[in-house]
Amino acid sequence: MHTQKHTTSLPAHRYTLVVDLDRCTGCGACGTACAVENNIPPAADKATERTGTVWMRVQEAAAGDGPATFVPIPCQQCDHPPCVDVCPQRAIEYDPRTGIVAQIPVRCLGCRYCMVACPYHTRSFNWWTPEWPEGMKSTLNPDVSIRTRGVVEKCNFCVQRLQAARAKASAAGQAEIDPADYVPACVEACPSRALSFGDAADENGEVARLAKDPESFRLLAGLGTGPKVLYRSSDPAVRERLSRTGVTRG
Amino acid sequence: MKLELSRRDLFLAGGGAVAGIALSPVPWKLLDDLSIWTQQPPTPTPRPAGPLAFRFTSCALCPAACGLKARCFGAQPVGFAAVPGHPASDGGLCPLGLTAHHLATHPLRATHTERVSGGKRERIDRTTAVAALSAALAACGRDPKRSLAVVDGRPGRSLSRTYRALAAATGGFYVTPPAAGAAHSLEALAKRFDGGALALGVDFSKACRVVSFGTPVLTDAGTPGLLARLRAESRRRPAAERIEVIQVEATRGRTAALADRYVPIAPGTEAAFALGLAHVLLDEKLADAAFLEARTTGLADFASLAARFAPALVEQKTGVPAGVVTALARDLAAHRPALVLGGDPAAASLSGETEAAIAALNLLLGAPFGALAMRGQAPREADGDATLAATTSLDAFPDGSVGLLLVDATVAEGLVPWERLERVLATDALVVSFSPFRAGLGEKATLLIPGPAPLEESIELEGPADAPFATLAFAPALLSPPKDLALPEGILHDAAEAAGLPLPSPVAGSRLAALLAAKRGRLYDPVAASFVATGDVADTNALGELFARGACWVDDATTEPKGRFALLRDGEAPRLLEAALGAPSALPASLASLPRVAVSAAPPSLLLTKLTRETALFNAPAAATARA
Amino acid sequence: MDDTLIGRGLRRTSLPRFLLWLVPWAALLALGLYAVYLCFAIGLNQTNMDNRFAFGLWIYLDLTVIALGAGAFFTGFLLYILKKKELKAVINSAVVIGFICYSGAVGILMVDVGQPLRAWFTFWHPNVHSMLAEVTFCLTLYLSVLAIEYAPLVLKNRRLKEVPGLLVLEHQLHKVMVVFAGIGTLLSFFHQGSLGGLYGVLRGNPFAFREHIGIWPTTFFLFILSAAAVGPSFILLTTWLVGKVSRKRLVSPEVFQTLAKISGWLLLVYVVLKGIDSLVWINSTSPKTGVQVSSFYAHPPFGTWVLFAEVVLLGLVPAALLLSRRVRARTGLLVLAAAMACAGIVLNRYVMTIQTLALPSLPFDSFLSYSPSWQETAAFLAVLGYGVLLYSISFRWLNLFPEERELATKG
Repeated sequence: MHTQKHTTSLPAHRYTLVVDLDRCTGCGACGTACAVENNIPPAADKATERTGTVWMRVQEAAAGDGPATFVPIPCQQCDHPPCVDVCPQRAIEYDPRTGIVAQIPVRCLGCRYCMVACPYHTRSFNWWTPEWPEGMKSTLNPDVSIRTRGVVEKCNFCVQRLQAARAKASAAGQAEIDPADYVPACVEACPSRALSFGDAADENGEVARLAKDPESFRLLAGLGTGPKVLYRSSDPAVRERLSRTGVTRG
Repeated sequence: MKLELSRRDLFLAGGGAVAGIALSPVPWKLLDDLSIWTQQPPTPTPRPAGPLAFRFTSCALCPAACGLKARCFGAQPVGFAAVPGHPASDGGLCPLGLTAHHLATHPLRATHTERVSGGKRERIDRTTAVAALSAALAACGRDPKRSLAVVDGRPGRSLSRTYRALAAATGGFYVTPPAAGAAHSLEALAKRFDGGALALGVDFSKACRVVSFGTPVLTDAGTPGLLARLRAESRRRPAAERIEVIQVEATRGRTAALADRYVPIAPGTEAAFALGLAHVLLDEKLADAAFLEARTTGLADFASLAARFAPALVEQKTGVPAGVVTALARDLAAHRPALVLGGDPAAASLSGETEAAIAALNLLLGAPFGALAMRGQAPREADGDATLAATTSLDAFPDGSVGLLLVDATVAEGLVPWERLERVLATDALVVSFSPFRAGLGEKATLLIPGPAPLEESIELEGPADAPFATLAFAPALLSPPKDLALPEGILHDAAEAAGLPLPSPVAGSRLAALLAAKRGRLYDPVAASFVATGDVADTNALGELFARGACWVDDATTEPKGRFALLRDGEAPRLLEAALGAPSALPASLASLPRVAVSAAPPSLLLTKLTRETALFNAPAAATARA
Repeated sequence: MDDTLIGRGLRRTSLPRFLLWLVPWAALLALGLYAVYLCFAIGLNQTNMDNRFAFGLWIYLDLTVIALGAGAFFTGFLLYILKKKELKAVINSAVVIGFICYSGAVGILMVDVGQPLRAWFTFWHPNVHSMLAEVTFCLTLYLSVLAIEYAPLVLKNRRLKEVPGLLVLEHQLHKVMVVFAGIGTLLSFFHQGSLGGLYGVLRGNPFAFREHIGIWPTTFFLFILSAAAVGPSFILLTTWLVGKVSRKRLVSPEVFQTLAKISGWLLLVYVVLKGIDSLVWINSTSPKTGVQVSSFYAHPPFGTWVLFAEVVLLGLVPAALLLSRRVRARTGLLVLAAAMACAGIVLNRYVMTIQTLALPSLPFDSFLSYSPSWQETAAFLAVLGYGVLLYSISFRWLNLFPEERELATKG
């Protein structure tokens, strides 16, 4: 298989997002908090659902007349990421220490091959130059760099917060970060606590326990991408429908 | 020896130099740097305005009053997180609150006094504004056909007392917007109690079934995410303990899409449907007999009214199959506590008759003092009633009788539409708004005296009227207001004085003193993430310090009062019958595309175009599809 | 007026008429350049591509013109390596067409990427696992090879030949042309293949993903084979077209026969292998990921007729036609068969680029549609305009068809 060698062994930490679909109401707080934290600009005048820059996409998984299910889909931070293999400039890096797939916007050529390769469609391209109204510029987050027009961007599990947590830990002389210091913006904002975050490599942790729970599933598991976003639903019909690979109806 | 250089030598040296440099990193590094220099984004990444710190406050953009944890660099907040455990919100937050820090620099923000004359907006200075206001005040005092009316969106503040004093001094009117949505229908229920003034709040944690007539309980009503979370948590408990939401409405909105059951009904037929459920409950003896016996009056009259609404008739009126009506009533009875709510805060209130039917349904199900909790009020300083105007409504005075309309910054146009306000205005009336935005009602004012923007001032903030416990916060400011911003309270005092209507000065800290004196409730300290009893706080200074850290006071449980609810009030029966049997009148649906914008006095941050344009989440509600 | 530039013994139309012929193509080019300017100045929001349809008309056309322009490398391979002497008659034209196709493709690619100034990053930070890196390397190198192959044609111009330095240069280049033909073949092998590999490696897309032979997916080999098969057909088609437009006999009939036979055999082999590959895909590769191939064809208008049209109607049928002596005897049928073969490859590239992106991947996704904006269409038409302009100028002033003079004197 045409993969990079270091993805065959699992990393030391495997940061995982857990999404409880019973709780998500599609309110958009996660996407808003993400845009505030990661300096994602307001919509351009002609931007649409298909051309907007949205790192935390919330999609309605309609089931005909049945109850609606809203599915937050950030970058799935795959352990075998299709995007890393295809980028001609190595502008995407899989970090073996954390499992986070990081986008390097200053190296990105904007060829969009990674967007074609991603089966989850979680990548956004800057079709317009990111612009903010004058007053909003002072509210931007200094921890996250601003991207240019013509490059691809995506969720990176708020890796700047991991860096801040590491800086804090090393300033206090600790080897490991305090997990409470590394929480992505979407998780902190969700009003129904549909999102939680943790290290799947911690065998005693909540995420490891939930990963084995029968109510948990991953999207497109059959493709072998190894996504690190775990979805949960108490409704077996929802689990069955959403964990399928591909669409079986027209 | 002479060194002779031929052209060939130069070419060779040149060629060698080029080859050599090409093999060094120099040209490639320069090329690397060039591509970085030429590709700088037009907006540079900002520098931190100071060290990272976390501060707590509360969001005042909508009645939910959620707790906010602000991530700040120096004095600049750059983002927010929810505060789990906060008494008012328990971790709730919505996109409006998450972008609250954008509003101080919103393009529609006004920082100077403005006057609209001849269709044009012009800036005026404080003196001119005071003069215009005082002239209008003086005129109000003289001419009864040109009264003063004040609309206050958040009563109980010290500014509210100033408004009421002004209204009293000029013989004018002090108006608060009516309760919206479910709070309105709860008020209607509480008014039926004969044991004294009563306030009811919704305690979803005690409910097993929630029937909602158009109230967006899973999305935009009350604390964001609360019911969705409680319901999800209940799904992993035994079946009998699971919370289920039944949404009854004509157009399938977001809550209907998420509800456990959606009952589409013909528009305007809620009363008939509610009476149909009541019919089944009474007919099959499923109603809460003990509660009805001990706590209600007029059961016999109500029963004979409800007897007319057999499921077959209800099906004819509402379009809901008779079997669904029966099944639902039985389900509600079998899964108590059940409660019924009605009314969308972003749309027009339900009619009094519909609310009467909903109230009766709640009584049949024994909801009050259970899932509909009795709640108190946050302690206030003594009114000094005689000198202050009483609260009244817009309907209390005739159209065209107001010469000076003062609209507070806290009045949301979605709750008090401009068309309604316009009717009360006399010709050439002066409309003054204290909103910091040239948006909503602020845009309609002829004299705009902008106050501080959200997060620029400490706000005395009571929690939602339909919460199970009263809460109070003095939400600290996170930003500094513009230096020369004229505060509304100061301008009002100056104008009143100039008009010969002296106002009592507000007493600083009087509400804190009242809170301490009441010795009730606890304070949640978000910094320590723990509670402290009010009785354990030393003095108003200590209390003030707690509030300045973002603390929130929450009331204790209140003892149940003695008294009964009237199932039917005097003369209500024929009106209710006529409304339920007559031709239905559809209520206009909410037009807000973004949640909570309609009930917020501030315009949404421009960043929220990400939700309206770049997602498919907030489009027009889907057409009704049958799924009951 | 420009008689001294026109080769001896060749008749060309008058200069004013020639310039008139150039006008509409120049206009197309100008319009397209304006569209390109808009894309550079305002951004790629000028196109109808979006986050789901990240590749659009341009990538589809890049793949198509590169496949069609494969005639350049393949004819060179046949002539210089396999010594098929009769192809000398068309090699110059093939090189020019190849140059046009590749330079046009590279030009469009520069507009298609968001940051064209960073194009050199692929050379500076190459990802050896990426098919697109391989494409970039091979394309740029091959374009250089084509330029070097084009140079002698230009240098052989009647006027330029009079400059001694240029004459010597042309002679030196001619001596090493075999080497460049070999390099060109090697590079083309890889980039034609890796263009197919672009889609065959997409693990996340069961519609495009195929089994691998070594590190290369089967689409790698199928693309090489299909390009080699269609190259001669395209040369045949364009030569015939140029002959019709210029109303001249440019090549002797044997050349068409050779081109048709080679194309026919390669196309037949390709169709058989493609058929086998499709069967493996339908029965094994796709089901292994949990997706049945039938689901890909459940979205109108992309029914199974697409696969049938690609492999049978525009694959097997033209192969049979090209191999039939009777068809080859009649120029009209021959040209039709060649056109059908080209159409089949054009359809195959369309299926790989557009259908792949239209299909939903997540279970709650929907089928998507895309149609290019005028800027995208104009940019493509600019390549067409540029191509006709460059070819027309080359045809007028360079000796593209060595047999033309001989055929003209024969009368």
